[in-house]
Amino acid sequence: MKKRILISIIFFLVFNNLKAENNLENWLSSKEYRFAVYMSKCKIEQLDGQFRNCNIFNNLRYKILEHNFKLGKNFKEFE
Amino acid sequence: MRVIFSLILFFFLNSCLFTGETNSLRESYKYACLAPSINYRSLDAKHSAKIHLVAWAKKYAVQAVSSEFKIEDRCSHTKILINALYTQNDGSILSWVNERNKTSGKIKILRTIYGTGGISISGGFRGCREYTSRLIKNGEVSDYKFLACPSELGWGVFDDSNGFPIPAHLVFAGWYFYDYRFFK
Repeated sequence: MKKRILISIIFFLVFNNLKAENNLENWLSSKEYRFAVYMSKCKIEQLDGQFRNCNIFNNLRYKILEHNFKLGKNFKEFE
Repeated sequence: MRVIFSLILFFFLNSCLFTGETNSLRESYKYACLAPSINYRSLDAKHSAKIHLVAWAKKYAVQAVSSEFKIEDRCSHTKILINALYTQNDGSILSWVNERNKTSGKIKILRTIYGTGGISISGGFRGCREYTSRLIKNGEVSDYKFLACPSELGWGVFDDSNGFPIPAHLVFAGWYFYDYRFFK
């Protein structure tokens, strides 16, 4: 009896972990994941010669870049 | 008995005191599942070490005894956060549900700051986005509000009572996340 309970518990835990891993795989292969990792590291030289991160909302922050701002542009253009 | 006690002590010390980070937060860093609201307790403990040293131990103790969201939920929340911040208009709501864990989450973009609002040399809050985050676990609801900015907020924009800039809660995916509690 004890053996059966133990096997059931192990089976449940393994099955549960596999499902969780499957969800994690979905995230790791998603565009959002690749984009987040890329944007965490990305730096570009702006028109004023300063190096800043690639977040396009920086274009709102600095008036000289404002005309270049378009919501969603960063994400859409990312392959 | 001594061996078990030593092992527990080792894992406790290893989990936060030596590294300054909890296991849960290390896992979130590993998979880039860093949405600040769903990692709130761990990040808050880490953040308070930068500003209020007295509160640090208390917050570590709180996060150590409270149950965290599973990594798959943290990743689901991060996924909608990235989408919301980069692609959604003000007022949009994105959500996820995990039936198996009885958890769910929502993010609503409240507003984007286009004007300077009279503040500062380098743009102040311009380009920042305000959003709320709602998390539900076993029927228990938690709400958070953050300001996400594309660059760090500097002197004169967001200071503590001594005039020092309050550091961001988290820097991730091109955003500096500021906890709205500090704006009150």
